[in-house]
Amino acid sequence: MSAPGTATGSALTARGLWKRYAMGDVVVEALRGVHLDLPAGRFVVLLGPSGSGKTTLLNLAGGLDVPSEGSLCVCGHELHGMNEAQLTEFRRTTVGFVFQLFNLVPTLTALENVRLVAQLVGRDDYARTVLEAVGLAGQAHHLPSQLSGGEQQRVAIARALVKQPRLLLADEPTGALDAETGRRVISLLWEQTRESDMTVLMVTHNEDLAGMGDLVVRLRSGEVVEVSDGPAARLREAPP
Amino acid sequence: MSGNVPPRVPMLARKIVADTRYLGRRALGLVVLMGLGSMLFTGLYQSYQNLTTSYGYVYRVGRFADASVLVDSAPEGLVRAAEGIPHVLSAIGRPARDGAIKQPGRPHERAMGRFIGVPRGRRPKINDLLLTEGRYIRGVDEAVLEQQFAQANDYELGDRIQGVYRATEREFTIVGFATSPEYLYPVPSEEMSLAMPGTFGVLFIDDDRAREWFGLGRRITEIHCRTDPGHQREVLAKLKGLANPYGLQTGYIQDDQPSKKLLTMDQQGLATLSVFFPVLFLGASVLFLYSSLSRIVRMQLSVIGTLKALGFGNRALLAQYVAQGLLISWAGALPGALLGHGLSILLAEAYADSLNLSIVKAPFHWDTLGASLALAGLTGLAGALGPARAAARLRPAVAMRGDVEPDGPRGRRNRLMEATRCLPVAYRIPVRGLFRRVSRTLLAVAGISGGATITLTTLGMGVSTLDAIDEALNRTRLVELDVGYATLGPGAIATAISGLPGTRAVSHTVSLPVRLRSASGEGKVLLMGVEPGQDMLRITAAGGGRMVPRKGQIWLPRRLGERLAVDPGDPLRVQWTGASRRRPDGRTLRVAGFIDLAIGGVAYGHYEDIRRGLADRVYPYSSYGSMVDCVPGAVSPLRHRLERSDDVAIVYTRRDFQQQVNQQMGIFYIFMAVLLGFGAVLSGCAIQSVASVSLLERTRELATLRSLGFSARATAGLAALELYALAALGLVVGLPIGAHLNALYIQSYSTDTMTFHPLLPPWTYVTTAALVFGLVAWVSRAGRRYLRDLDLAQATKIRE
Repeated sequence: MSAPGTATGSALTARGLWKRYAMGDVVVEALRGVHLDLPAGRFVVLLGPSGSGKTTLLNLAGGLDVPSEGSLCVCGHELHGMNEAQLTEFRRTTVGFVFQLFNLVPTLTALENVRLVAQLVGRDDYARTVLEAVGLAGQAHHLPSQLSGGEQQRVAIARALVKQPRLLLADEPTGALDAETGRRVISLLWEQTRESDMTVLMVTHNEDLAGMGDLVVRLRSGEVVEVSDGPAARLREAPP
Repeated sequence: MSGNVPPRVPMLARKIVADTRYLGRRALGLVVLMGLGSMLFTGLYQSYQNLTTSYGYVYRVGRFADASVLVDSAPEGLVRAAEGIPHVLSAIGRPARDGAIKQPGRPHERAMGRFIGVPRGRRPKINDLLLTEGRYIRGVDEAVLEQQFAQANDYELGDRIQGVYRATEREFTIVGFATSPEYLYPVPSEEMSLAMPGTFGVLFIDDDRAREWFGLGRRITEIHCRTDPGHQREVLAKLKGLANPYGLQTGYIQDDQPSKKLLTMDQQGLATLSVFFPVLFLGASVLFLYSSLSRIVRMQLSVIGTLKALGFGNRALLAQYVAQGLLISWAGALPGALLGHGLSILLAEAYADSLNLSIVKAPFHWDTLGASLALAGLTGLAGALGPARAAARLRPAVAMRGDVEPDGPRGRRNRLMEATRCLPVAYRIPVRGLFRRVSRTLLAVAGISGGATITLTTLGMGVSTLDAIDEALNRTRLVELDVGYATLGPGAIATAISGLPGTRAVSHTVSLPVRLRSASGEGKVLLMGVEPGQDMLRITAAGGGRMVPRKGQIWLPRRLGERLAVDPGDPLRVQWTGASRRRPDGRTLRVAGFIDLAIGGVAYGHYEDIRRGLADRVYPYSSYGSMVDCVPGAVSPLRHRLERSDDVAIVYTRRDFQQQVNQQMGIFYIFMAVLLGFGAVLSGCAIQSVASVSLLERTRELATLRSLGFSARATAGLAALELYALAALGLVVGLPIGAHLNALYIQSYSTDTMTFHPLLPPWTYVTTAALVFGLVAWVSRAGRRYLRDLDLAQATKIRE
């Protein structure tokens, strides 16, 4: 495993990326010619107001949606032109998701939710370790309905981490949590990035959370308006 | 503002419409289901009403007798005595005798004939004729022919027809065809269970000509009375008293008149159908409505909480969801009932066609429409009340949180967790899904089992009916021709028949209608004497073994035996139905055992025994004949040869019997096809409904699985597994219920003369299961397409 921040290559490269939606007779341009390079192994915060296109970019990066125009290369995979089977394979092996609403399977326990994906990628033995790593060893046999919001999101993170994705996509992962729990969840994600060469792309509209990122990408009206090092990166690169 | 007064109700009304539109296909499915239920109810019940109205019209316009007696012969003055009986409005007397009709060149060259004298130039006061073509008789050599027989034998006005009574022939010109209230169901007597439109003809001839032909002088053989309502039985008792000295053969009130009685029994099946199947449909509609509205309530938890927080009272919310249930129910019921009206006309016409009835009255029955809408309203109320009360009772804070614990006690849930731990994790999802919301699973199982029940019951009806026909035509009767003799001397005629080319075997038969009396009851049946050595009638006794006629014994139809409460060996008083104080013809026979034939309801005895002990004494009211077996290809020539003989009254081939049965069962086949279609639709709706709930309620979950790397096929497979499990559960419940209902239905359709056996061979279960699983597979394919085309980006964010 590479040291934090030392992974080479690009996690995401977008060139002239457009996404248009037809909403009745109106065509909405969610992304308007986005150019972006995200280096691997970074914790990237995607910031922007509502409707700026950040979730759209995340969905395109995860293969949940396809661009209207332009190219998008994620961890060496050119997503343009992939068929459904290839997209499924891409989602299975390359990216992990953390959703705002956790999206756990309600009839499976915490451990089973993690094992569900672990078995899919052949890492069943690793499930309990990951659950322990997110601090939920004691709640392994609890159903989602028996867990707090923060605990559910930690299960969701464990589920995403268990397949060791190269890119972890988190869409407003603290949106359904209180501020304190949200901070702990982000810390957990941040720690996981430090311990691997995984790239995290987290969408938020919370300016306070931008401080956790190595890189902050600001979007407005479907365009990238600023890419800057975050405080975390600056802190890391500061002389000792 | 009072807490329970709904503010801005019009907006809530708009919400009802919007919610219903949101349900989309599911709402449409419910509307269709309600429509089908209403259509089936209205269609079947109204066709039953139409037939009752049509028959009622004939009975009313034809001034059908309320009480009648049949005698050997009585003086005309007896009519005046009958008119003197209290509550008798009017009375007539007429001559009538049975014989044969000779009709060379027609489909049946000989047929059974009934010749009835009616006044020339004026219509009978009672038992009038409803002319369908031509005119009433004016001359002594003119006749009006019963129209079903005329139609079956291709008669036209002006044709000549030849009647034979005791070897005396008379020829008449047909001047009219008529429907008679006495022969709407054309049978010569109550003991003949199958309608005989082609082989039993009724000829209405001049009264004076009839008396002269029958050698009656000024005497009569029948008296018919119209009575004050409610006094039929009282009048009949007095009428029988008057007729007794003149050889009373039988007497009956209008409802017991053979044709009306058999027609009523035939209609009972329709009446049962008209309630039985619609109830299943409406029951299923309740379940689907319940599940759909429960889904809406679940989806709108936060909306409900918000509405309550805004000041809407419990009653307003209750009213809203109940109104939605009623809206969906009536949206389906109204067009369904109107379509049902059309269906009822078609069914009544098909039914009437099967009996060659020309008169069908199909008015719009507002009462049935009202009942249909009321039933739909009740269905809507029953389906909506549960979810509506659940919505009304929600506390706003709980509702707005939008989180509902899975139902079921925790202990049970933990046991389920343990029990499914042996499965791969992915497979635990569909299995546990069954217990995720027990109420939903129960509803789904109920819906699928309802469809399976209808399908199995309908298949069972079909199998039982076809088996009964096969039993009657092929398994028990290896008789090519049934021959009825016109004259006495059966031995000589049988010998002559056995000498005809192609004949393989001839066996004597004799039959007469008898009244049976046991210590506990009384019943009427056609008693047939057969030879012990014959091999053409292979009737299996109830409990196994072949029925063998023995002297001094009688074999009874099982149902009749039950009614008489007799056991083998018990004595039974057997009397010709026309036996009277003057002619006490009868004897005591012991019960040999029981026979369990579906169609027939005939009792059997030893030929010689029945002949000498009963039949010879009452001739010509008994019938002699023979069963004939012949080589293939000889049936037709033999029949024509026999029909030309004056010793032969009627010849009946196996094909005639088959045609008669098929004609009568035609309407039954149509019903079965309709019901099978409806059963498949119900199963389809249930499965479609369950599938759409499984997919729609769990779209986010399934989309998440796809986001995690499960393929659309694998994800759909998991959803389908749950559906297959539900279908299997539905079958486990539905098949035994279907078997039980089938038995109940068949039992309710049974009469003394028709006792179908509730048969459900393994293939009926397999077919029902295949239909259900086939529908699951079909619906699952659609589910796979839905999951393949799912917008994952949107679906993973849906709030469920």
